[in-house]
Amino acid sequence: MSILEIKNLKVDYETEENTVHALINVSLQMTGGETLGLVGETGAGKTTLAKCIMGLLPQRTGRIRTGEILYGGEDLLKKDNKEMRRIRGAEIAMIFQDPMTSLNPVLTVGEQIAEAVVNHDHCSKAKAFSRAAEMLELVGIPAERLHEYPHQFSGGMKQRVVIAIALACNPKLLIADEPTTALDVTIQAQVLEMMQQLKQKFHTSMLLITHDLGVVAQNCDKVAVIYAGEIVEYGSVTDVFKRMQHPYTEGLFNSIPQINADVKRLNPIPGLMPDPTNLPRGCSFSTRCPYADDQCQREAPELAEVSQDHYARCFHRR
Amino acid sequence: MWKYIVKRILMLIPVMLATIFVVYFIMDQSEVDPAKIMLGEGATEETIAELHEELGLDDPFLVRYVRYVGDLLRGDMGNSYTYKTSVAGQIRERLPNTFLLASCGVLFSVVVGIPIGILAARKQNSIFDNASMIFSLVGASAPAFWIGLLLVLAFSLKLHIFPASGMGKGFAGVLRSLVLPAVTLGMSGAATTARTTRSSMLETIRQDYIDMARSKGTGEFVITYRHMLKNALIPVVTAVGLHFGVLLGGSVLTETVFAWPGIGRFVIESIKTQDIPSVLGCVVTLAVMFTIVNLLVDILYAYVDPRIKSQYKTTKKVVKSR
Repeated sequence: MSILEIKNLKVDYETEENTVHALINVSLQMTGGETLGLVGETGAGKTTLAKCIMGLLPQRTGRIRTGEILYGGEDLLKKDNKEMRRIRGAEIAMIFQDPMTSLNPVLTVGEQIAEAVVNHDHCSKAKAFSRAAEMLELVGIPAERLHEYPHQFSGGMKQRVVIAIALACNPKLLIADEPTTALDVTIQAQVLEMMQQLKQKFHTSMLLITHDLGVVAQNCDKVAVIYAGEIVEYGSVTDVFKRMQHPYTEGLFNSIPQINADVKRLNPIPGLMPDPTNLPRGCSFSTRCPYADDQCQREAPELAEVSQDHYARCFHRR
Repeated sequence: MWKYIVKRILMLIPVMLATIFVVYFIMDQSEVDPAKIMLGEGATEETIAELHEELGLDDPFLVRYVRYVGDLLRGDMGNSYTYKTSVAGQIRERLPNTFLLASCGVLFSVVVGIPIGILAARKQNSIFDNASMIFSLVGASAPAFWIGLLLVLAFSLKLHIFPASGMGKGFAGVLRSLVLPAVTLGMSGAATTARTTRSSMLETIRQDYIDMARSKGTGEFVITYRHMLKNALIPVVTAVGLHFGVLLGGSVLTETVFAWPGIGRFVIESIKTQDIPSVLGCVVTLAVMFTIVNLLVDILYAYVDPRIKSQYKTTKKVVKSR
């Protein structure tokens, strides 16, 4: 049964000068307990999608044009603030990209974890703090550090605290927005491993946003590749990694340096992502695609099923 | 923390010596002969010379400076030429009044400024935001004596709610006579506090930890006061603290307009009558007060921002991280 279903989500950011098309008809589906990887480069719309699900789009500029976000059959976009507050933290929780900035510097980590507990369990402060201590131990931080402030922790430790906050109320869905990007490589593996363990322990589904294909390979069941606000390829990790259909996915894989190949230069995808205020008329990848022809510049391809549960948005599928 | 406070207090000593030196030097440059003022119109050359001898007015500058500082350490600021009594006594009588007025002025600016700043930031670009920013522009740029006169015109001459000048008797009387000068004094402070609070709040509103707090399901009220305000207050504390220091010495205009028996008015009087020991005494007192207020603000900082507090913890090292 699907825990989260996103249908035709279209989101713009409206500024005084222009309109940024952040997400264009995004559809995704997640079943309970699975991990979906969302891969794309900076500015592709990954964080916008995460914030949309949480209902945290910037109110002044963010505009949801069409679409539905069904969580347990109910449309999150139709819920008011009060209802969303009950869902945030308790049902869906989020881990932010940069642990350096996502913890409040003037509150102790204990207070910050306990706040999540109090928000949803409405229990006493003492009880919330004992739960907070439990969560800290769970993420590998001694409970006596409960009364310390974020600046007394290292980056990896801070991200552990953020994870403790996110999991404090046993959410069913965890959105992790590049949880390891800001961390040292040596710490990345630790944090990811811990997230996997906790995910299994709490039976949480996870939307893992990343630009690191290695992270996807190790942690995800399914993967969606997002480019300029559109899902360009979507399927199981094996399908997408072994039988990739979209030239962008192919480009992403080619740009990973091979450790055993003798190459002098990296192999990046040429060009830049198109300006989201002024997207090309046809396929948005056509400006950088080695296979692009007239049709690609004229028409926008649909997301078509290539094989069972494997979709790609390209006229020239392999 | 204590080590820091003691260090700061010790640092006051050279600051004070230098301040007194500068003030003493400037006062010394005036053409006024204290002996002439003390003796009045009918003084003869001989009596003036005698007094010069008696007070040591002909000694070199540095000798007189050291003597003044020495006297000061014993709490002796000399005698006022006009009142013929000790300057220290005069100041002791007036200082509480100035302190009371300045505190109420700061209280007004905090109580009015911070809520306006919070609301303006939470409702950025709304009508309220624009209106409050116009208020703060007017409040900050209107001179105190003008606001004071307008308030007197409206609330005492037309409406007869508050007295126009002087200090009332009894608790209620003092309170009533305090309102107008405190508002006058606090107006520009309220305006700058509102601006500082607003911009500081706007900065915190965009922080990741605010989104993080929302993603925990925290309500907007708690987010505003617990998550935003606590962070936003750090620059506000500085602004208010500095302002308090300024008010202690700078309420000269307000005290004059409202005939408030405080130090500011005493300074003006003393300058008018060329009462040098009084002017010196006031300036020294105000300088001490200003530095003490600054120290208090710095200590307060540590309580608002735990990061600063831990910097002070030099004796107790935190070696717990693994």
